[in-house]
Amino acid sequence: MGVADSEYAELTRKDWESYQTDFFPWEDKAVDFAMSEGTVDKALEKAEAGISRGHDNAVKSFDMDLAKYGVSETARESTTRKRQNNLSKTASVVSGLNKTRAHVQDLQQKVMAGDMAAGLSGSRLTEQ
Amino acid sequence: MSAKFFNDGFCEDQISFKKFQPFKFNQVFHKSDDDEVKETAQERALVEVASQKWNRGEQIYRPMQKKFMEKVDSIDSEAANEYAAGIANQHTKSAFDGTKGSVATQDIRSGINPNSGRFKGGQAEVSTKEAEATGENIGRSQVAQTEESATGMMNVVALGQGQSTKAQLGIAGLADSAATKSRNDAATAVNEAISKREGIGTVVGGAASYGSNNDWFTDTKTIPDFDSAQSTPDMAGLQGDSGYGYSGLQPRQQYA
Repeated sequence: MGVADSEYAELTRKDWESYQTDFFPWEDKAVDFAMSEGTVDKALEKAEAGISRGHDNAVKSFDMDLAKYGVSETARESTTRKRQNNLSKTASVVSGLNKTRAHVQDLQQKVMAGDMAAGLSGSRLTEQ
Repeated sequence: MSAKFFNDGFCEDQISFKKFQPFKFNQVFHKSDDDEVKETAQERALVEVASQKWNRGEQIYRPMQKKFMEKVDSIDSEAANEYAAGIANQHTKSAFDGTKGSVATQDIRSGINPNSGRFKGGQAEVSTKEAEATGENIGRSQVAQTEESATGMMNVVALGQGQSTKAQLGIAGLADSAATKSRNDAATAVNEAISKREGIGTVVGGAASYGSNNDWFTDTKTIPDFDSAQSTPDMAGLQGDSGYGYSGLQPRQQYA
């Protein structure tokens, strides 16, 4: 075997080693993202926290908004508004979680099917 | 002069074809008695070029690739999620502050007493819309971060395979989308609140009904459209979309 052959073989080995080091962990992540139930659970958790937090932030500022006009709510008005807000928050959370679940499951499908950039179908994992 | 034909169809002028011997792949021609096959100048040049490409890839493109991976890693971090949520919250609040003011002004001009249930009810109604919009925008920003992270992850995988990558919005893009959505939601809320009282039409234009505007993943740019996403020029630099990126420089494609 000539020098050029052995050098090329060495380059090929180094290239493959570099690929393993750099890209195998990302392929593993992609597989985990696409296959794990935890992906959906994590997204739901984040979405729920976000929706609740957003709702609460907006509701908290209502008293200050009224104070700008020099008025305040009566106890009855406050109770009614809080009840309405709670209903609205529950509806928002349920609706948001349903949409999130469907969306993230679609996303997992896309990763598996290769719709996003390479996708797992184009991965070396399946080529080997 | 007529050509003389043989039984196998060749004429006399073509007889030289009959004598042609096809090249056999296992046939080795020796220049000398030495059994070793000599490397050609082209083979040596190919290896030399491949080595230079490899070295350049290691020195220049691999560090860039590492940096890209680090950025992708940080997309779905707690800090990035907090930032996206904060931006969504801020944009929504800012859009609705104006809306509440518009409804109040309209009510006062119509002679409604600010201490009346009607005035406070109007403000409460807009406040509820604001709460829904804020919750939705923050929730959506969190899901968008997950999607951005997935896109980035698949871009890294694609980079390794020398394939084109997909465009990513980035946090600035997400913030921009949150602002657009907040403005639309606020405009819709003020229209609803005022038109209910006055029986009039649109005060602030440009927004559809809240119901149709309430779809998380179809009515804004928050979530990247993967069907129409294009490779971006900065991506092309890394992964070779312009014809000669990192992947093209490496000998990796030889066996990919």
